[in-house]
Amino acid sequence: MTDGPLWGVTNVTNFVISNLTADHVYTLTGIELVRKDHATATFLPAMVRPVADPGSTDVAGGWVLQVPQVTSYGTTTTTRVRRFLDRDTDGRRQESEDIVWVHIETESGATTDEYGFYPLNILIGNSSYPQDGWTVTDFAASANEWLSGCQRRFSLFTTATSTAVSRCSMLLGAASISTHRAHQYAFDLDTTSGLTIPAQMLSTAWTGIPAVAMPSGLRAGIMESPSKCGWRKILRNDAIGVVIDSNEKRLKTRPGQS
Amino acid sequence: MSLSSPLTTQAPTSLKGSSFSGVSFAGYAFLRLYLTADADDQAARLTLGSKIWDFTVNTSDTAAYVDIDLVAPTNNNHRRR
Repeated sequence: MTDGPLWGVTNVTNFVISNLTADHVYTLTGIELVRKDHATATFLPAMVRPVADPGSTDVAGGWVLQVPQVTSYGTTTTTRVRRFLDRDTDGRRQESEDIVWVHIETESGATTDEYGFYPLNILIGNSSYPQDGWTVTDFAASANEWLSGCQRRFSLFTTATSTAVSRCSMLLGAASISTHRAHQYAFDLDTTSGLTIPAQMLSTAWTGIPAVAMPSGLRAGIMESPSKCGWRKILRNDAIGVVIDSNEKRLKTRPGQS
Repeated sequence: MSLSSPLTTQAPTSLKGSSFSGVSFAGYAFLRLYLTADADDQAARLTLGSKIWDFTVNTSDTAAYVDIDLVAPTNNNHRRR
């Protein structure tokens, strides 16, 4: 936990209203502390962290070994973890959710990857989950209107399935963070139904996305299919919108988007 | 809380003498003062410890409150609404 930009006044030693103009009547009826639109939620916050080789298959980027590697009867289990969601609702950025990645390799070389995290639909549905100062609303339908050449849209609100692409879609699907009057759009991911995305993208390719957005192709070899793809920052502030478009059609933009 | 004249007679009883000593405002970017005057652009100053904000107050017809930017540097003479 670190001090955020809203840490502000932390210890009031005196509270004085003065320098009032003579011969005028001032009326004070109340005092409130307000956040306005400054509460934020950040998904995959490490995504914008630059790495030396974004296309590398080195899984170290963004992932931290959670427990020592375990080998038993020829089967090796490697458990890694990385940040999924940060919240900043009280002036301090807090790590709220992690993704746990368990990679299992048998003696014959067969591998299995399992991912564990709570998608937003679960977090929102859980009334005990802290939501002070922020809410999350699915604006997927609106986001989809901005994009062309999209065959399928996934959402952060979908339920986990067994396919890798669905897991990615839950991480990178469309959503927005609503804080009072403001909405920050988070992510959107579109792809064709036949496209599969290896799990390593979570730790390699996406971390290579620069903060300043220009349409660009992801490196070849990252995708398991030869589909062309492009990414674009379509959102404001620090939120990154990611679009994978197998047709590589030009994306529609709206005023104010970069 | 300390109020200077003539505000002392125009503030609700619940606010008079209220104590903010030792209170943390962390996590909140703005302090909203529902402070109005009988004419627009009347001067006022808020002091929180060593931080000072000079701002102007308007009639309730113009603005029902003034937002003080707690994160801004002291004495910024800046008002956000």
